[in-house]
Amino acid sequence: MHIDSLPSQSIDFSKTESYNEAIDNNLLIRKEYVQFFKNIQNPRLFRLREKAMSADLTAYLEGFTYNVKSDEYNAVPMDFVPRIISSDNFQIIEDGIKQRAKTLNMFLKDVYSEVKTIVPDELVVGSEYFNPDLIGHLPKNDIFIQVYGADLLYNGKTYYVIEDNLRVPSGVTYPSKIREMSDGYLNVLKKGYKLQPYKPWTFLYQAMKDASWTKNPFMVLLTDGTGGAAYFEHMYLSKLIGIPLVEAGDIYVTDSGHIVAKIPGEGEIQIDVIYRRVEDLDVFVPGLTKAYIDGKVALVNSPGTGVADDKLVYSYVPELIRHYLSEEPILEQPKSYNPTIPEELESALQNIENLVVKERGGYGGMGTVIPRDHPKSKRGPLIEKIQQEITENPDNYLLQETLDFSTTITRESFSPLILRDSYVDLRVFSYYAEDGPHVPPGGLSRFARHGRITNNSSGGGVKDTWIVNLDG
Amino acid sequence: MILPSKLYKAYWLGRYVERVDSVSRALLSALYSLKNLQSEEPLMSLADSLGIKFTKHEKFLEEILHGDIPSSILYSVRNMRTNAIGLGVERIVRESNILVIAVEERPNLQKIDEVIKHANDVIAAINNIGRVINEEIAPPHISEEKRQNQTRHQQQ
Repeated sequence: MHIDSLPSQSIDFSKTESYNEAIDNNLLIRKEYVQFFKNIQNPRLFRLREKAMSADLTAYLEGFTYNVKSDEYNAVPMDFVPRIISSDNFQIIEDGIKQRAKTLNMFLKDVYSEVKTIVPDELVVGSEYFNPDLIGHLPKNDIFIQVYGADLLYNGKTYYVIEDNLRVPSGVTYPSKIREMSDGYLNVLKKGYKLQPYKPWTFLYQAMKDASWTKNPFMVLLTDGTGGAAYFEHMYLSKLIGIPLVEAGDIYVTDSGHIVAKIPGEGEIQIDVIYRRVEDLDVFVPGLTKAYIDGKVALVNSPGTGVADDKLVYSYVPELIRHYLSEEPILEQPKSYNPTIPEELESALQNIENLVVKERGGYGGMGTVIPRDHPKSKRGPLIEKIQQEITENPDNYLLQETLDFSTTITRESFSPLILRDSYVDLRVFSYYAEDGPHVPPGGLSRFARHGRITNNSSGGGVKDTWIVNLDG
Repeated sequence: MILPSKLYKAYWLGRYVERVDSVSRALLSALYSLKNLQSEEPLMSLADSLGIKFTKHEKFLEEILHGDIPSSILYSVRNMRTNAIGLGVERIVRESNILVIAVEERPNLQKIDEVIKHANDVIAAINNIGRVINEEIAPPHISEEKRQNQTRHQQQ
């Protein structure tokens, strides 16, 4: 199917140097998207604009928002055009994420069992997320990272993991909410596709249950409150899983060291598992880490996991996979430069214009600079500043090659319907239960409105991610 | 099971709804005076009670409706929404967002009829959220007989 068969002027391409996941270089629609293009021309699909706007409004009214200020919420921009990934490709992602989840978990077990790892000790101990108090206190079944979110980029041939998120990865519910809206308003777009259902909370529920030291655990989700950027997610997720959403003030540590929630008029109830969506545990609930160490409560994810998503440790993940699993890494990661190694520092400093500079403890785009994306006039002083900073504090940074990643199509306007190519990334989640890691078929696809940055605050939005079996 | 944090949110939700309701109704009444009697005095009195300096009525309307000050209706409805979201009751979240959208509309402040319509829309949205709060979180009705029995039991 050639794009000329579509209504005229409906596709606007500008990023021809990048791999487009929907349309190839000869302007032929790729097989994953052929049925979708037929569907949007379906005469039954009239009032597409109204339906998409209704979905947007409903989601907004239901609180599908992110915080701009403490009392201002913006709608999360949703695009009705899905990102479509073949089940064959997703199988590679799934296998690769499971491989990383197992490896990172084994690494954490060694770190907190005082077993020497292949990562230099000074990097482990020097990580701001390493917690020596946890040594010798392993979680149930030695599972540290029940929830793991990996950020992926695709270049048409290979998926690259650009970041592992092991502390409190967010975005778990976004794909679920988008799917809920598209099921409700735009189901006709799915005609001809057999989509695999996406219900990640069922895996999360099981992973939480398996983390418990008791048989019938009482479980809660601990939020940082309405001022936090991901409050919608906490609210929505607690409803999907069917567990109470608690704030720090709702729970405390008793004299016996247990964690309890106080229920006005009903007394106290002991909590066995906390899915904690806060980083600083003891700031929110003083004594929480000790209760975890004493085995009085299970925490999802365990404290201390941040040592494994430290940017400098990340550069060792391929080696860790070979070491722990005796396998070759399934997913690639961009070439990294560790500035604490003098030879790598030197080659990084010479080539800094083509690298991504990441702060060691940063996450989700925070502390990341891409010199190539800055205007040429401002690039020189910026590079000089970065070079100086890295030379002075080499153990605070990781540098990576800049990847040219894929684009997909995104709605630009409705009347007339214009689709535009835009850069897209993917966050895939793994849920680690007693029987191993599970990767639900789907994930969070984020697109960039301008440039390559996909964050909401930079104007980026989110898409439904369809995993489709093209053979069946 | 109601957690303390939810009770706290419910309390502040109620207070902000009350505040938006009273300020909006006072504003509407003052707007009618301006329209029918060409009197700015009720608006000036309202400004005085809210601690807003009155210079021109258009400027005051901008401040009371959308100003970035604690006395403005927008400030109150946004705080109301934060508490509604914190409370997490779907219908209340929905109505609170509708109320915020109603307040965020920008009428032409030179046209008093438009501002009156705007205030009426806001009050209609407040009425809706009040009704939904009543349906969702009001205590269950207790019959007079049961109440008397409870009272007797407590006295014993």
